[in-house]
Amino acid sequence: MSSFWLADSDARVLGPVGLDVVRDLALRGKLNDVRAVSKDGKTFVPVREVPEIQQALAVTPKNADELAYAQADATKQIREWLTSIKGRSSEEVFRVPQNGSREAWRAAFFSLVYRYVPGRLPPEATPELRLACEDAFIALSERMVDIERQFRASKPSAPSASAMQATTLQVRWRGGMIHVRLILARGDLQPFTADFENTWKHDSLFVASAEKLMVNTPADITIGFEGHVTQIHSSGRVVGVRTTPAPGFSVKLLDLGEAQRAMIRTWVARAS
Amino acid sequence: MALPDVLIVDDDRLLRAMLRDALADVPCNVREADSGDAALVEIERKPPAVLLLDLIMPGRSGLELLKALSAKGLKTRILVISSLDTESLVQQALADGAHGFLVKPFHPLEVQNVVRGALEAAPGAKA
Repeated sequence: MSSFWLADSDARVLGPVGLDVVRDLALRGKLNDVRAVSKDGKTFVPVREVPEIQQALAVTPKNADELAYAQADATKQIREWLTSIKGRSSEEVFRVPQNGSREAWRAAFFSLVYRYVPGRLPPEATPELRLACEDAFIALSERMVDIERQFRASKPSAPSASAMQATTLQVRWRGGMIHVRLILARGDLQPFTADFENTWKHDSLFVASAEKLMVNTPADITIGFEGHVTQIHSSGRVVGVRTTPAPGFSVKLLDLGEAQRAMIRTWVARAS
Repeated sequence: MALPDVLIVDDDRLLRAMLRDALADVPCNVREADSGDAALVEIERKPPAVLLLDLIMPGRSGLELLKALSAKGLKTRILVISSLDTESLVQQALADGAHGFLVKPFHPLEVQNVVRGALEAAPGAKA
């Protein structure tokens, strides 16, 4: 069977793969940036010069009506499921006995949350389906955070809950860029709203720091959220610097995906 | 006793940083390679116990590296990390020598869990 190497616009290569793999990936909408093809892994030619690959890539998942119906149905099912788990214990939701091991809880969590990861949705997913998945993902993650906390609390060396309640900020220079590590206390939305020209709506974050920076300074950002295991990591650029009323700088986050935006949106909504 | 090595092979710097962060609580020594060729050099220097492998990279692809490592007969546990999770590609990766397939986007706890499991299954990385 023929094997192919596929290269994208950044010259990143997948291969060798068979035509069946290419078709499967195309059907799932996972090959949207194939620019060149090779049959030996060395010499690449434009896709149009390899008709079987061009044909495989031209396959579309489903017609629009089928897709819309399937997505509406999936959204309805997720909403019904979310309603059904309200008031139910985590033991019932994850189907793990109360004395289950940490590994059993984690395995159950991963197998359940996997289907709701917003980033797994295809680009053509409706906003309603995307929102339903985000809500399911967050609902399960919050339950898992509580479970993890219970396991941690059983260890004598675990940090106390009160130690986690203040927002912490670390700012340091390394490798020619500013590194910011921000762990937000529950209810703290100030970094997302303090600079009204660069708020969370603009994928931006205000860092209250006396560090003297210039606009366009590259940044590496980590944001943690109290009560959540998920952290956001992003590269960014300083887009604003101020000295009054409180010194600090605003960073535009450049790598945010939809799931991360949803995380910030939910955090702000709950804190507001 | 020396900590086991985990080698992250991904051309995306941010993803490598995310994986490194995810492994912060796992007792292991994290190393990085930004390409298939760089990974081979790292592996020649010292085979890791576990390798986290991206499939799409410039130059030598993840699948090519997978085949090359299988041919060497290393005991390294190889976990593929990719968003290309179709059944046929997952099967191919497993047939080519991968021990597991983790789907992007991943949850940090998920990464910790599979790496801990792989470390337990890989007492030594040398052939």
